[in-house]
Amino acid sequence: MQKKRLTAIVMAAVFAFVLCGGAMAAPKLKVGMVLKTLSSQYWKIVAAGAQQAAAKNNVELILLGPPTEDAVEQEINMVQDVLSQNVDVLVFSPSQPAASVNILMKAKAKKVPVILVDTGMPASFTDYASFIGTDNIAAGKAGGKALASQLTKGDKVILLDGAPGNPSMSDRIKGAEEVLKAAGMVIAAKQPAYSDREKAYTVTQNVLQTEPNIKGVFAGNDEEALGALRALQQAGKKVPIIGVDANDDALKSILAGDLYGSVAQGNYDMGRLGIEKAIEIATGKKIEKRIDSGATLITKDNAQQLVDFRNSIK
Amino acid sequence: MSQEKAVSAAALGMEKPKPKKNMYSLGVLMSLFILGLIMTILSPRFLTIDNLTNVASQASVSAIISVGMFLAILTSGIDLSVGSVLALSTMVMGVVCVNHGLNPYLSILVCLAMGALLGFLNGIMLTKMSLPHPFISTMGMKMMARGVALVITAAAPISLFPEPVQFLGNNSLGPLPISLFLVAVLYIGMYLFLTRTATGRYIYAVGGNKEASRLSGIKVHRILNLVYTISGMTAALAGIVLVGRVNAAYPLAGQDYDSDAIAAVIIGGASFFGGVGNIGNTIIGVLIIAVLRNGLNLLNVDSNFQTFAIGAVIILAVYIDVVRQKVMK
Repeated sequence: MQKKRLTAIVMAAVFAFVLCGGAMAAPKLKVGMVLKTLSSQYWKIVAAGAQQAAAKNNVELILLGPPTEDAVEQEINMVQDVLSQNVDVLVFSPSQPAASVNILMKAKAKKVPVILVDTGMPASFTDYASFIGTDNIAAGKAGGKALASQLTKGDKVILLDGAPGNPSMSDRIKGAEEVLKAAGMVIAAKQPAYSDREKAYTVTQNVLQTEPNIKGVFAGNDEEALGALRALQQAGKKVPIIGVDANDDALKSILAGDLYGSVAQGNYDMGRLGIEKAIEIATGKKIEKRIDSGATLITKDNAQQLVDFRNSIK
Repeated sequence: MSQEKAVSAAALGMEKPKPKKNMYSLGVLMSLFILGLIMTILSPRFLTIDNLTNVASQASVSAIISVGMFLAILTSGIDLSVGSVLALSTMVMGVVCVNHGLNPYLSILVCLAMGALLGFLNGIMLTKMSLPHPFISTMGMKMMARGVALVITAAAPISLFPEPVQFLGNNSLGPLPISLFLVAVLYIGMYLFLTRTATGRYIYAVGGNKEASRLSGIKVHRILNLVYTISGMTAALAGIVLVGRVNAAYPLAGQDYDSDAIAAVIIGGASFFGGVGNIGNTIIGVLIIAVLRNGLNLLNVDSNFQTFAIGAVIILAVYIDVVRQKVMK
């Protein structure tokens, strides 16, 4: 008899505790974010944007990413593990978009809205709330415009593309080409350099054999820009070269007066907007399906500012 | 034939498993249990049906690959090519199935045959070409297979596989993923093969002492070719499960699995010197790694620490074994 009463009291206490707990904890928004990796500088900045936005808006953020960008299966497992923690919104950057369709279908089945950052899904897949990333054509245009400002009509330029079929690289080249042509420049060569420094170096050397009178270079990323720089320096030429990404090596080169500039992607804003848009979705607002996270031209004038900002995050 | 079997089995003392093996099994199982307990205490999400089925589906690819790796290590060898064989076999399946519209069931057979062929080549390099150690032959195969996998579609992934190909990796029976049943059948089948058939015992014998096996009439080369062929096939089978999970074949697939499979087999107590090991412990090794990764994900731990943790577990597992053997002596 006594035992029964004791049990009843304990149960009542537990019940009350659970009720209180439920009532006291305000329904805090829970966002799961899985990035391509958390181990490179680029992604650390995306993560910092998200963490600071989450702290500011009192959002519970579960942030994961594999050790390297090509650990595709680990990334997919991480999305699965995040979904099993009943998150309200998933923010995701697919390393291998084609291989990420099934896991996003699982998110849909669990009614978890998905925001993509940095990298979108194949065109046939539309089951996501929004894609926040760089508008690469606009980034290319910004770089092309800056290069044109340093040249005069009729000057010959080189365009260094990425691997054939890499849409983000070819979009940048497309944007730059459009602006440069409109400004009256001559495209002496447009060649793939596979986003690689050494390949860009070789390609530029080869182009200089047939077109020695090159006045400028636009490259789809900084690695290519730095490869082209080396080839031109060895040929004794000092011409404006612009890349994309504003990575550490490029910033050093810009500050040293070698590279003319680089177009920085808004990776901090990708992280920040990822969280802010997640909040908007959770509160029932409609958000745009495609959000441009912006791109900024970095030259000697503002390179130091970016270096300082990055150091403040590390 | 039956004469030969009696001689070799008796001569090499393979008749009965020794009791100390069971001690290790118990230890590995306990470790998994304790790990599970710790994760349950630390994360309320760990011990839920939803999460445990996640662990099962995440572990299945690794579990299937580990069967072949177990055999390779059991014969005092290694198969470093499993991840690349997985990638190439599934890419070939993608090309014939998605790009050329071959019947999905035939495509699955093509994938398994591709894996078997690559594995057989690993065996031939070891036995017929007499390369000094499978470390070399399978490392060469690892690079060649990865290279071809990247070349055949110029690094582009192949997606949108038909339903039958996706069945193993993407479907469930109630809450239980189909791949779980596949793993169970594979492990039970392999256990019976290794303990109840002459060929299975020869694999142990060859691992224990190649020269003695040869002298007692075992066709060592044939056994080794078989072992690497099976390893290639299990890698391809794991690839079919992976393709089902993600609905795509991609040339960089399976890169983590070489080392994960080796780690699982070692944690499962198989000896690198060959001849000693229990397939049942291998699945526990696979689960320890899977639970570790899943639990650390649930706890929001940096993935670089996961890599560190698995490395530490390998060293710890082998060290415990070393100490235990010293004490027993």
